Amino acid sequence: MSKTNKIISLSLLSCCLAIVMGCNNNKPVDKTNLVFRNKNVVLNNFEGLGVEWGTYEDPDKLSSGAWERSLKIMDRLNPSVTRCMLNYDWFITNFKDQNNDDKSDDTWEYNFSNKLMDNTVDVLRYCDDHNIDVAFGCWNVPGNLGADQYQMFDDVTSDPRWATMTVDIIEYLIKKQGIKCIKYFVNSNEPNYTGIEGKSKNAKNNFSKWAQGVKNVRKALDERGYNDIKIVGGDTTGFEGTDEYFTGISTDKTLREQVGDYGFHVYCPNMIIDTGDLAVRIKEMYDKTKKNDKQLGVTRMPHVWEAGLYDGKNAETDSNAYIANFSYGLRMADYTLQCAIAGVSSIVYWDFDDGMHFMYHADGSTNSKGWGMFSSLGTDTAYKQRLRPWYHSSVLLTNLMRKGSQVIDSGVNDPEIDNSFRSMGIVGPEQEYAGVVAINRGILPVTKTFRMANEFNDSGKVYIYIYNEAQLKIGEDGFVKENDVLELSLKDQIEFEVPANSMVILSSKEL
Amino acid sequence: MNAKPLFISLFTTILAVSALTGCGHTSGADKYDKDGRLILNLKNVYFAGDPDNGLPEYDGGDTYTEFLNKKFDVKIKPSSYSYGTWDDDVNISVTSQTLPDVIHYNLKAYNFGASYEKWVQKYVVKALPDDMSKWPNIKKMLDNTTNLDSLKINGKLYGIPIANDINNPSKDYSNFTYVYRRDWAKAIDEANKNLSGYQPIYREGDVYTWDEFNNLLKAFKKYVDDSQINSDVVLVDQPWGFPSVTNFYKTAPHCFAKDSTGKAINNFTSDEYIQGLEVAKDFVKEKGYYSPDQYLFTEENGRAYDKYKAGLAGVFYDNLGFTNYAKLRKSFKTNNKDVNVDDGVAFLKIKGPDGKYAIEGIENWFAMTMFNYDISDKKMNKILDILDYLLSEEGTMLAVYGQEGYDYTIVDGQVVLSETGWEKDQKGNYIQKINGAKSLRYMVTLGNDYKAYDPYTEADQEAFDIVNAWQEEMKVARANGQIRVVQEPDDIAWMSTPTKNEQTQGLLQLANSYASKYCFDTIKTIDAYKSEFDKDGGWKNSLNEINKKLGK
Repeated sequence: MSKTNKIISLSLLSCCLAIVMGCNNNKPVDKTNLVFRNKNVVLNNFEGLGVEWGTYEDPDKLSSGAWERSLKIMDRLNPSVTRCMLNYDWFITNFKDQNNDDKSDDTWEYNFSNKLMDNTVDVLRYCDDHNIDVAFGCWNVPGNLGADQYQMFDDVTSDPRWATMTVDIIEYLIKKQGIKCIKYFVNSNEPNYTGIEGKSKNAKNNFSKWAQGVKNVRKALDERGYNDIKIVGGDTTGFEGTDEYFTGISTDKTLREQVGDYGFHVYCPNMIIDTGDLAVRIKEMYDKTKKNDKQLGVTRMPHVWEAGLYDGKNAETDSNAYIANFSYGLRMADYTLQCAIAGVSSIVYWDFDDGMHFMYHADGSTNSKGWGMFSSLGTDTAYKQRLRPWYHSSVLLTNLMRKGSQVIDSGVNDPEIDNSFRSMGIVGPEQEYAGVVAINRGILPVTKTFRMANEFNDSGKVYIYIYNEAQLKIGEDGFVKENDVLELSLKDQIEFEVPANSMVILSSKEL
Repeated sequence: MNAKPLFISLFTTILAVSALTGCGHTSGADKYDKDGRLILNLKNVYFAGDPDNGLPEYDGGDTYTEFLNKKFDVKIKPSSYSYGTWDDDVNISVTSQTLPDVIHYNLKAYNFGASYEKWVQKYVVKALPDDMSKWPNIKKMLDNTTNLDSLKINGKLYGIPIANDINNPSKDYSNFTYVYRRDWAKAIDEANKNLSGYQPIYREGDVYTWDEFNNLLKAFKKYVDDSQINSDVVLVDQPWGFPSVTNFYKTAPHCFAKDSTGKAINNFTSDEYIQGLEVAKDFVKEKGYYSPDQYLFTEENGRAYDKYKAGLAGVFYDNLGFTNYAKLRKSFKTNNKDVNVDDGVAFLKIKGPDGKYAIEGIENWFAMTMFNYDISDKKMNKILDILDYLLSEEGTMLAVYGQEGYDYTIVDGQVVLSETGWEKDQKGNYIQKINGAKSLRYMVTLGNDYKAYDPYTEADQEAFDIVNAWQEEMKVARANGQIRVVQEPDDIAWMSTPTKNEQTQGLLQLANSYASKYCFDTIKTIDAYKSEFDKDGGWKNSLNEINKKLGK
């Protein structure tokens, strides 16, 4: 106990503890003694956490040993799900327009013998080997800005050739490369973000074009027998654009059967996360969509396919200025908790490695986009190559919130009760383990008790992990390790002082 | 020749002319979002953010905009102009009838009649209410705006001139001035101090008389020629400012000046300008102070800036407000790691042959926020409500510090920033966040009023202090009559006559080109230079029309 220098006690009685009474709908709420039980289960089959791990735009930039290092980092992260995006342009060759209005008679071939496909296969094969579900997709329709050589920018994904290209490429991966992990197809990235004409391939996109694209791709997938690959319902960005697409999907009885989920991206302002309002907003959107589509949360789950912070984006480098700060990890953990208690079934962080994507400048220079958990690029500074704090916080969560887990709300996460402290319980798949995540966003430590009332296989130990700048513990292997292990049970009431601005995880298994 | 960043292009001219026949009625009836909030489509060049400093485009997705949306029951939808194509973008939206609710236009004297006046006549832009007392902060700002009456048509004002500095409305001169290599001056003195009769060239306080400035350039030229510095230049002007030395002679910055009788004349052929032009030619041709390539420097290629930042020039003429100066210091520092940046980018204060500083005059506002003619009074009032709020103490606090309770608290009357709201990066600088209140406030003022206490200034505090010191010194000089503000006569600047409206922009462009050609000897004689201005009737007709209106 002394190891952690925290107040930890086993107590079967809560009466000795101060009970702080909050008030929610006139019902007294115990904000101090948190019990995770069935009545507060939000998700019974959480689909897990993950990270964007797309095709590396320039694999040649990876220095010797960098790929192996990246895989070790991925091993420890142990995601349940990833999103892998690429460009069809990389493979299309010998395109022949028949010079008529009929696009269906255009012909083209594919050249998959290049380093970009090799890298894509490496990524997907890893996912196969590690039981990681993949949302696979293409950023935009092919063609160069200013050239639009395939004449696809007007119709975007509703262009019939898009569906053909999609299924051809997926088929190559499945049949020729033996890839099995593709569970979802992303029908272009952020279709609601149209950008500026002339600067964005997506400028002429809209919901109806996107929806037609979904219908075309669904039909093409089914015709080739890939019925089990689902299509992401949206992949939109921002609450407003997402609301438009979710409403469109949920009110179209045909379309909603053709998508596999309700997928969206959220780059969230700090204040919304910090005050607990993210969960409120997602729940509002969830409830609104649910009114139209009762299968939301049943057969069609909500997924966040890109998760990151809105504040701190550097426009010149497309990086996030917070990315190396401890606060980024705390906010992303808080983000994760709020999404989960609002019913989001999986969350994919943006992103894994700075080395995947580049910013190309007018003077010919490039920089790696700094949104990753580290940089694999030997050309980046040693500081950038180091594992960032948010990698470690993410490792804890991805290893706790496994695919098939149960997510349990504390019952006191309503920001009207307390907007600076949040907590959730996790029972692992097959009840193998249990854990509690507690996030204190306040400037003072808070003392709480935690008890997991739901059934799980008790190891008789509680592994304690503390994420803050002073107490995060890194092992000799460079990865996060527990601050302490105690002979306790989460089935009993555990009192713990959660430090200010920290995440604490109590887990019955080592993460 | 001070054309400054005019973004003159044939395309712009064509569009401006075509704009005369079009109108921009596109906003139409009020629209509401799904929550019943009035949608406001606002477009402004400053919403593009500041990529050089990492600040992304303002897209309305921040919590501060959300606060304003809630407070005013609106849905703000911002969009931005690209700075490089700003004029064109506005003109295109007018001709293609795709105006948002609010536009931002780079209104200048030369396009006053060609655009603003025509847009009023063609019902493109909507007048502000006659009685602005409902918006006291905007009213106060307007009351302090120079030449406001000149901007009115039939007594009505069709937009909000965006104040440079609401706390310092009387400032009537620009920040177009020089920086120089103080370290070079000191090094030259140090190297020559033991020579008999040597007169040091460096002047304490960086104030130089005209003769001292000429000695400085001469010494710099020798320093460059004798040293390993691979350079062909000691004095470099931003292309819009070339040849900056004419400032010390001419009486007006652009096309039109007045003679001693008050009659309008062509500034570029005035005796004063010619005198300055001869000095410029001497600096180019005989003394070699200017680069032989100076005429190839453009806004787009940035070569003038690059010369100085690379440490290849001794003196640089630019628009040196806080933002530009801070940027120049950073670039210079990156490229000249061994040089003390304070000495490498020191403000140079030159007194001309008349013993006074010569600085180009400006209005105390820059560009204008204009309203689509078709928006409802309700919408206009709502936008004015928001802008007035942003000028208030509370609105300014929101724009500068963020939301009380989250970003800051007030303790004993002092602002205390929260660590959550104001987090620092690994270099110890506050991380830039989009604050919609700050962005939207640019629709009425450029934010110079809060720069001194803006937490973001801290990252460039030295730059701010240096610019501020220069400003204060010039303020005193202005009060003591030691600055000659080079200004176009107000009654001519905002005068509208058919030829002036149509041709001033083109005449200015041609005049700049003639002056350049004369300096670089493509036009050999001053008579040949002068005769260029007689080749078409543009100057004559414009001057006749102006003088007719002046009663001369």
